[in-house]
Amino acid sequence: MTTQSAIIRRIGVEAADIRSIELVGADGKPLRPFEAGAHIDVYLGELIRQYSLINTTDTDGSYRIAVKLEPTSRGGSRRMHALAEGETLKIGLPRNNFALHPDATHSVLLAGGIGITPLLGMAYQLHARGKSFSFEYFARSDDPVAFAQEIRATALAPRTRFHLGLTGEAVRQALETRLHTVPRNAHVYTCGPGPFMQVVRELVAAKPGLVLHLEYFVAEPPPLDLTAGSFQVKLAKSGTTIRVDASQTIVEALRAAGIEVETSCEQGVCGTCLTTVLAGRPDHHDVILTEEEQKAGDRMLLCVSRSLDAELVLDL
Amino acid sequence: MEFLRNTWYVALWSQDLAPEQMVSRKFLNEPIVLFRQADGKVAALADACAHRFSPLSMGKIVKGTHVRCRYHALEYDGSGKCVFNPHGSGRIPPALKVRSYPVAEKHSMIWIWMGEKEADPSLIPDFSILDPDPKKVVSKRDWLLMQASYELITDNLMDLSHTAIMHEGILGTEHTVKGNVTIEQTGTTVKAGRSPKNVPAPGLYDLMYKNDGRQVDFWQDVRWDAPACMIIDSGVTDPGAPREQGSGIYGMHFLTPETETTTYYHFCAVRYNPISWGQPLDDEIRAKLSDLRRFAFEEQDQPIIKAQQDRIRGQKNSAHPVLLEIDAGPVRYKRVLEALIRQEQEAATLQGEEGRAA
Repeated sequence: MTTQSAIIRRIGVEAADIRSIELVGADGKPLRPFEAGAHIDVYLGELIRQYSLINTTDTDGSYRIAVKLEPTSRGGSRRMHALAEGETLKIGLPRNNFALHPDATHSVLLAGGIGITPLLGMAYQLHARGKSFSFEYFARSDDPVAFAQEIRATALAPRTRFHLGLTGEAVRQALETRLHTVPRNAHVYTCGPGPFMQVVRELVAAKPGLVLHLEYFVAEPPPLDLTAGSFQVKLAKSGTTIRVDASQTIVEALRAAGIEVETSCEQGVCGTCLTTVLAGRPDHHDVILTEEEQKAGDRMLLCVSRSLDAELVLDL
Repeated sequence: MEFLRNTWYVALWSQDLAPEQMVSRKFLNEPIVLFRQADGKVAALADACAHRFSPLSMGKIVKGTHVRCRYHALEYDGSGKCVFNPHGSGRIPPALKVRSYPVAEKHSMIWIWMGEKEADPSLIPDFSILDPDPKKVVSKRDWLLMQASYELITDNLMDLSHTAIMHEGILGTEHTVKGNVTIEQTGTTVKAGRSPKNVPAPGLYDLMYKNDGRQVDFWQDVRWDAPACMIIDSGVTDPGAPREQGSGIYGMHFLTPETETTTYYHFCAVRYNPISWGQPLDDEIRAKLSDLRRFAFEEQDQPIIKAQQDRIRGQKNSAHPVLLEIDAGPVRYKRVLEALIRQEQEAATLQGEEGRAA
C-alpha cells in the first residue's frame, strides 16, 4: 500500500490565503509515522499535489499541512481550499528529502513565506528533542503572517526571529547578520521562494563549514505563466524537475539546484552547453544553431534558450 | 589541420598573370606553377618535373603553350602531359606527366580547384561585383602573403567588432565598438552583420562620404562562402536614412592557405554609391582607399594574428577560447566549414573502402 485514507479533522485559517488542514487516519488508527521535513502526496482526482508536514510525529498520529491559495492556481490549491472538515482524502506515505541531520550540534532554520511549512515541523521536532537551533522567519508584513500567533504562543517563541516586510537587499543583510553568528559547523535548512534561497545559497557558500539543506517549495507545481517567461525543466536521467524563473536562464536554475552544466560563453555562441531535448519545444535564443536545427528542436543551448511549453525534458 | 579540397580557391588576380607569364605558388602545401598561354588560357600544374622533380617554374614558356623544364628541357602542355623530350629517341613514356589542376577565370580572378572530384565552375560564389565595368570605382586589386592561418584571418573578418579597436580611426572608432550582431545562414553561405547607429563616421568612410565628420549610421555586413571568400558590405548614411542614400564599399577578401600557418590574402574594394569630388580628388581617394586598407591588413591585422597564432601553437594542450557575443559570425562559418571538410573526408573514406572491396 502506498496510499492512506485520511479524514479532515480540522481546517484553520492561518492567513487570508493560507489554510491549515489536520488529517487523521480514516480507520481510527494513527497515520504512518514521519520525521520532520517530510511531505505527502495528496490525491485530488487526476491531480497530485505535495505538501510538507508541519506538525511533529511525536503527537498523536495526525498530519498537518498548509495550503496557500495561488491566484494562478491550475486547480490544486483552489480545490484544497474548497475542502471541508469531515471529508475523506487519499494521501500518500510520508517521504523525506529534507530530513534533519541527526548529529547536527546546531541547526539554523531559514524560512521565506509559505516555505515556513517544513521548517515549522522541524522547529517543533528540534524543540521536542532538546536540540540547539535558531529559527528565522521572513515574510511580507502586508499580509497577516501565517503561524505567527502559533509560534508566539508556543515554546518556539524564544528561538524565533521574525523579519517582516523586508525587501531584497534588507533580506540579504538580515540573513548575513544571522549567519554571521551561527556556529561554524551548523546545519542550515532553508525553504522559500527561489530568489530567497538563492541568497541563502550564496551566503552559506561564503562561509565554509556550514552545511546547507534546501527544500524547493512547491505548494503545487508552480503556476506557470509562460507569458511571464517561467517554465520547468525535467532532467530525464535523474527525474528531477527544476523551475526556471523568468529572470533566470536554465543554466542558472540548474546551478541554483546544485546541478553543474559545463558552459563557456554563456551567450549562446560557443555551443559548450548544447543539450539534447527529449520533449517540449525549445525557444531558441542562440546564434550557433542554424534555422533548420532550431526548427528541429531536438537540441538547445541551455545558457540562453528557453521554452515554448510549460515543461522541457532534457537528456541530463 | 585538414583543408577543404573540392572547392574553388582564389589563385591569383587575373591581372597578375600576363600571357606567357609563369607564377609559382604553394596552395594547401602543394607547389603549383600557374601560367597563361599565348591565347590567354590559364593552366596550373604541379610545380615539379616528373623526371627529376626540379620546379617547372624555374624554366620558361615556349611555343606560347608549353612549360620547358630548366634542367633537361622536357616540355609540358597545359594538361600536364610531357609533349617534347629532346633526348635519345625522343620517346615520351605515358608516365611522364604532372598533375594538372582545374582552373577557371571568373570575376577578374583565377580560381583553382584543389580536389579530386570534378570541378564545376558554377560553384564559384557570386562575385560579379568585381566583373570588369569602367563605371565602377575599384581600389587596387592587391594581395599579400600573410603570416597566419586562413582560419584565424577568417575569424578576424567574421568578427568586425575588431575594426573599432584594431583599425581605430580608419575603419572604426571607439563609438563603433558596440553593434548588434545579427547572423543569417542560407545553405552554406553565412552572413553576419553589425550596425552601430548615430556615430561619428570612421575616417575612411568620412573620406568617401561627406568629409565633414558628422554623425552617421554605420554598417558592416559580411558574407562568407566556403572555403574563405568574403564580401564585407560596409558603409555610412545619415542617421535614420536608408542605406541606398549613403556611401560605402564592398570589401572583397579571398583567403587561400599556402600552408597551415601562411595564407595568400587577395583583397580590393568596390565603391558603393561613390560620390565624385572631381579630379584629382577622386583618384586621391581611390589611392587612399587602396593604401589604407592594405595598411590595415598588413600592418595592423597581421602582427596581432601572427602573434596570436604563435601563442596558440605554443600551448601544450589545445586551447578552447572563451567566446563572446561578437563571435557569432566566426562560430557559424566554422561549423559550416568543419561540416564540409568532414563530409569530404567521409566521402573519401567511403570511396577508399569501395575501392578495396572491388
